[in-house]
Formats: sequence, structure tokens, C-alpha cells
Amino acid sequence: MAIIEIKDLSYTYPGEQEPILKHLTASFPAKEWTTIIGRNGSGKSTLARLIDGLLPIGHGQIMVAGTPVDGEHVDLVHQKIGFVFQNPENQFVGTTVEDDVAFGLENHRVPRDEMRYRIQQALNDVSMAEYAQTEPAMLSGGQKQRVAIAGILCLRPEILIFDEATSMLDPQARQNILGLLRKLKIEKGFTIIAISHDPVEAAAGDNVAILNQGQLVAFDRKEQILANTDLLQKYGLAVPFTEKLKQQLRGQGMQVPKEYMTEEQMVKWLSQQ
Amino acid sequence: MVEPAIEIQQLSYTYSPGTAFAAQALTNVNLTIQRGKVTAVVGHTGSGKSTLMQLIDGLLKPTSGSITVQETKVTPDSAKKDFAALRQHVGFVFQFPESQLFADSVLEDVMFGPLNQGQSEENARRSATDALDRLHFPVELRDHSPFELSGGQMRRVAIAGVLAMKPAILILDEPTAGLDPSGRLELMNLIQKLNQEGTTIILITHQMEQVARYADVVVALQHGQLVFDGQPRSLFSNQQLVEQIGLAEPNTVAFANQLDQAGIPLQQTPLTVQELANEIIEARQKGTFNNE
Repeated sequence: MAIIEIKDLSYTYPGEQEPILKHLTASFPAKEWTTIIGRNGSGKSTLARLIDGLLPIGHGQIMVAGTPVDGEHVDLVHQKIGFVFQNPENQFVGTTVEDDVAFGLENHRVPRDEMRYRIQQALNDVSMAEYAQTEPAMLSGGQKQRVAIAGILCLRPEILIFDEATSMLDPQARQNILGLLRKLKIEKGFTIIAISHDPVEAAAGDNVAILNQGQLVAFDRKEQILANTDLLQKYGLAVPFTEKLKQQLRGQGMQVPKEYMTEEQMVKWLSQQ
Repeated sequence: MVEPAIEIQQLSYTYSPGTAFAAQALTNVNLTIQRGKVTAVVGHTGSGKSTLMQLIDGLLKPTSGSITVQETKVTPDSAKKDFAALRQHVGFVFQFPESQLFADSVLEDVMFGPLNQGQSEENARRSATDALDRLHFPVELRDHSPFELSGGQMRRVAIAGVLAMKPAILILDEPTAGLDPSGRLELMNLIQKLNQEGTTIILITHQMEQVARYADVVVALQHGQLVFDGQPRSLFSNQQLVEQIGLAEPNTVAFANQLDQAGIPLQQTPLTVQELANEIIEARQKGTFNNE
């Protein structure tokens, strides 16, 4: 079942000639993780902002969990969607981690006892409970991003949108955040939309959508898309490491499976050869 | 024969010395950066690599020790003009350099540096054109405003602005940050080409794949001290050291280590996917697979 339905969506930034999104139609399945990948300027961040009602829709329609995204329903849409940006530094307002997480709740007039409970739960969910009293500035990039996620989790959204949310992190911190998202998706049944140009991030999800010059050019299970190196290269996207290795092995005459494999799966497969 | 581009001797640097906020950023660093090579500088945020680069570019004055670039040597007692002389040899491309673009056209922006160096209008134009040519920057875009360009193009303009001052040594701080995969590859190929044409490159990077693929030498800093100076392969072969410095492994090395744990040891640490594939094929032919 689709939780986000987009019909014939076009958008042109004020003062621009060329539309950034052109007649885009797509639907995102509920409780699944879909990664939208595309080159810089392909329109992927614009699409994420339009879904969250952060930009006025130019032409077409977006439905989020049965609610149309428009001026009248934007508050309702914001309740359903939690949006995590690329750089958490710009989002901190509190003097402690706890205060910062509380900020969103205060804005939503959640009662005090309920607030305390939700904050604790959210910090637990992102494994940051022991940092509740820490000053946000003292945290590492990965920890900051965890706190930003906690701030959103305690608002209890149905859908999480991540706009390049791991691109500023080092590889280890990135893996940790991706692991956290996977856990949250499974345990809490979130729908996740992640914007990225990194196939490593796409490999963590369920589906991959490719945007190119404002149009949806592919939407499929990640196994299909990540193993299709011609498709990825055609749209200027990075080829996953395991696919590069398979290509090289194939070039040397080794028989390799067509299906996409994670590194772990590939090691296992090689050890059985 | 190792030909030094930069000689660093017993270099230390303390921020706000003699105050309550004094912080030792570099401690007794001895290092030779070789001419004509690509040297990668790695280490955690706060390891001292930015401080070291600013010292090499003459932007900071050493607390003790010396830096020699070509015939210019600076020490704590050197005069301002010596630091300026250091800067003549070294071009520094900062992180996200496109944020410093300002002129009405690409060409004017690139001419700014050479004009500032005291070159005549005509020479500055020639230097700028040469630099843009070397970076394969399209001729038809050179009268355009730099702000009309794509992110990758803007970055090339910013790099051209530094190249136009004809530095013998080019320092690039995370040059591919924020670029998409094709932009990244394009820029790294250009950097490689500049190096082949004779520019000494110092590459500050967090991406170990870049170190593995492009660097001749890698220098690692930790807590302001030099903890490794050698070839990428010898660094990445030392899993314990890599972990201790807090570096990630390039994905080829991480994969080789996973294979090793699965009972498939490889002959040497692979730095490229091609090397990794070769090693796997070789291990297979030798029958080291399933060797229990």
C-alpha cells in the first residue's frame, strides 16, 4: 500500500526558467525504506521538500497518508512527517541534549509528564540516553545526528525523510546511523524516504528511485537497481563496491551471480567457491 | 632520490601560548614532503592537520622549529615577508572553495589572484586562461557569472584561481566534499593530471579510498604528532595502526580483511578493486580457498 502518492508533479523555483521537477508521478510504499538517488541538481531535495509541504506545489498533487499536501493541511502533514536535514548543527537550539529534544514537543504543547517520557524513550531509541545532560556542541557529528533524530522521533511521525542526513559523517558514524534507521523501521514500522547519492546508503533500504533532470527514471527493489551498473552509470551515479568487484572478477573469467550482494554476502559466496 | 619540496624540522605550534587557553596543536613534527608526488594527509578532526597546512602556507608562525619551502625558510623569528614568500610557492584550496567566488565573470574571478600577486593585466589574463585550460574549463562559460555554474564547475573555477598563481605546491582540503560521484571522479582525474604535469600535491582527505588510489605517500597525524609517514600500502597493511589512529579502512582493504577472517588470506593488501580481483583469482588458483 502506498503512503505517499505523487501525481504529475512539476516545480519551478521562482526566477528560474527551467522546471526542476517535470511531470513526476510516483508512489512510495508504506513501512518500507525508499532511497531517492540522483546527481546534484536532479531535483531530489526539491521533491523531499515538496512532500513535506516546505515548498508550495507548483503543478500536480501529493497525498501523504490520505491527506493532500497543500496550504490548508500543512500542519497535519508536518505531524505525519519528520524531516532530518543534512547538517544537524544548524538545527540545535537547546543548551542540553534533553532541552533540544524537548523543543519540538514544547511547540506541540505536549503535557510535561508525557514530554519527559517521550524524551527518554526517544533518546533510548537512538542510544543517546546517557548524554541527556550534555551540551550539543560537545557531541560528534554522528551523535548530533542521533539527537536530531530523537527530536523527531518524540513527535511520533509515521514517515521519516532524511535529506543527505549521513553525507557529513565519517564512514563508521554513517554505518551506525544507517543501522539505527533499519532498527527503527523494523521495530516501529516507520516509512523512510532517504535522499542520497551514495549507493551504500541505498543498499541499507528496500527500494531505490532514480531521479534524473527532474524525472523519475527508475523505481524498483534495491537488488534490481544496485546490480544494474549500466543504469547507474548512465545517470552519473556511483556503482556499489561489490558490483565493481563482480565486474572485475567477471572480466577475469570468473562466473559471478547476477544478483546484488552486500559485502557480507559476497564474502560468504566467495568462501563457498 | 628523494627530492624535498618541503622540509619540516622539529615543528611545534601552540595556540594562545602563555594564556589559560594555550593548546598545543603540533608537537615536534619532522617531515619531508617529496617534490612531484601526491602526499595524502590524514587524521581525525583536531589531529593537527589543518594547523600543519596553515603553517606550510605561511598563515601561522611556528612556535618552534622550521619550515623550508624551496629557498625560503621560516622560523619563529622570521619576518612577515618570509611568510609571504612561503605563500608564493604554495597554493591552498580550502574546503568548499566555491564559497569564496565573488567576481562578475569566471575569468575575472580567476584573474584576481595573479593581479593580487602584482602581475600585469595582460599577464594575469594569460595566467588565468592557462589555469582554466589546464582544468578543461569550457571556453564558452568563461564570461559567465560563476554563480550560474553547477557545483562541480564552481569548484573548478575556485581551483583555477589558485592555480593561476602558479604555485609549485598545491594543498587541497577535502577537494571532493559535496560533489556527486561523477564530479568527484572528474576532479580527482584533474588533480592527478596536474601532478603528472609537475605540481606537488598535498591532499587532505577523510576518504581512505582516495588515499589508496591516488596517494604516493600518506602522512598520518594524531594528537598533533606524526604517527605515520610512508606508502599507503604499508599503512593499510597494518590493521592495528589504522585502528589506533582511528582511520577507516579503504573498502578494498576492509573486504580483504573480511575474506581473511572467512579463511581466504590474500597475498598483499589490495588498494584498488582491480588489485583485489587479481588477488582473489590468484588465491583461488592456488587453492587457498576452502583450505580446511
